[in-house]
Amino acid sequence: MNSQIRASEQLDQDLVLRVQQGDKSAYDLLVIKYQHKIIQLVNRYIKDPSEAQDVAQEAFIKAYRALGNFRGESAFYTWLYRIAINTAKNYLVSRARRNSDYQVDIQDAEQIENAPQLQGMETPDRLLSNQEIVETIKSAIENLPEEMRVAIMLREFEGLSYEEISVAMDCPVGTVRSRIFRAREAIDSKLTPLLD
Amino acid sequence: MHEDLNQKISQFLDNELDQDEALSILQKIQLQPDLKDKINRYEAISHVLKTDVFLYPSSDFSAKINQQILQEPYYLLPRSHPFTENKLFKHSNKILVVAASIAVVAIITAQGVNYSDNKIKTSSTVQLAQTQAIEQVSKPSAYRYGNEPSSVNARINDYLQAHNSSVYTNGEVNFRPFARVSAYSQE
Repeated sequence: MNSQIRASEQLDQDLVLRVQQGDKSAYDLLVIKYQHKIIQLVNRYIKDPSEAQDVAQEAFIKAYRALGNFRGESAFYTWLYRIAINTAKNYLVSRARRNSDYQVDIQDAEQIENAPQLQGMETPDRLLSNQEIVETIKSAIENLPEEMRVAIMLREFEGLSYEEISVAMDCPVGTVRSRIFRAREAIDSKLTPLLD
Repeated sequence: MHEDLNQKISQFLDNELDQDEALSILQKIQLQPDLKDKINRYEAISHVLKTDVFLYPSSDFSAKINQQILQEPYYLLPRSHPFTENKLFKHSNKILVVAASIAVVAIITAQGVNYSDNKIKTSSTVQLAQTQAIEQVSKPSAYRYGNEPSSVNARINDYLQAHNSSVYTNGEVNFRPFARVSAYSQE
């Protein structure tokens, strides 16, 4: 697993080097690689998914502008995470300032603070849709054949490598790879119609 | 349709591809929107399993960033000092710093050795002098110069004789009879 992480970091390093040498398309690869992780991270601070996406985009652009100063003293993703967290915090501060200008009623503010579902100002339709998607995914994983369910759960919940899973399940690594992929495909087949 | 590629994407998400394979699959995802949607759905599934929250990036998420980057003015572009070169530069700097430090330490040590040698010499001289002084003080003054008491007495007698200016005043004017007046020139 460590060697795979090192390979991933090495890939980041090569892509960063390419960007620093003027290859803008290399940055697109880094965006593709980390977009979901950065959106997830920003979403912990900013509950509204669309706002979180905007802030995540802003974080990527800030990171691009600062890439000339990136010395490689830390891994690229930790450096990127730090920028994303700072961008999210700055966004929250500026939003709080904007909100204070509207002189929101204190009682209303307390209600909003105590209702996590409303923090992101998500519409009821969106909440219902998201809830439906979550239920569909959970139902899909429960209906998987046991060996596939165990394989993907060991991967997703325990964070085990394919090799570790192969030891735990007493099967070849290739089988683990196949089981995890087929589990994802089975869940995806239930998810895709909901996104259309 | 893209069964092999989809499996590669699955492996890519689990950090189970080597560097070249990972780069290759990223480049394919970059060029094919359906693969981009696939990786987004896989990531969303993974996130739901861990947090019960569904997050799905818009299909133009990376395109918007790319567009913004293309519009970046020249002065905002990353400067051309790649971190690997900096690393190399830093590495060579470190070697120079270490070499310089070793040289300084060597010089200081060498000087320290010379200084301590001198100090030892000086201190031994002082010690010798002090020992001699103590020995000399502990002896009578006559022994200081390596003389015997009899020879010293003889020297004193000689001295007194040489400096004797006594006169016998036998009834002379202004002198008392047989009075001896002596005067010694003190050295």
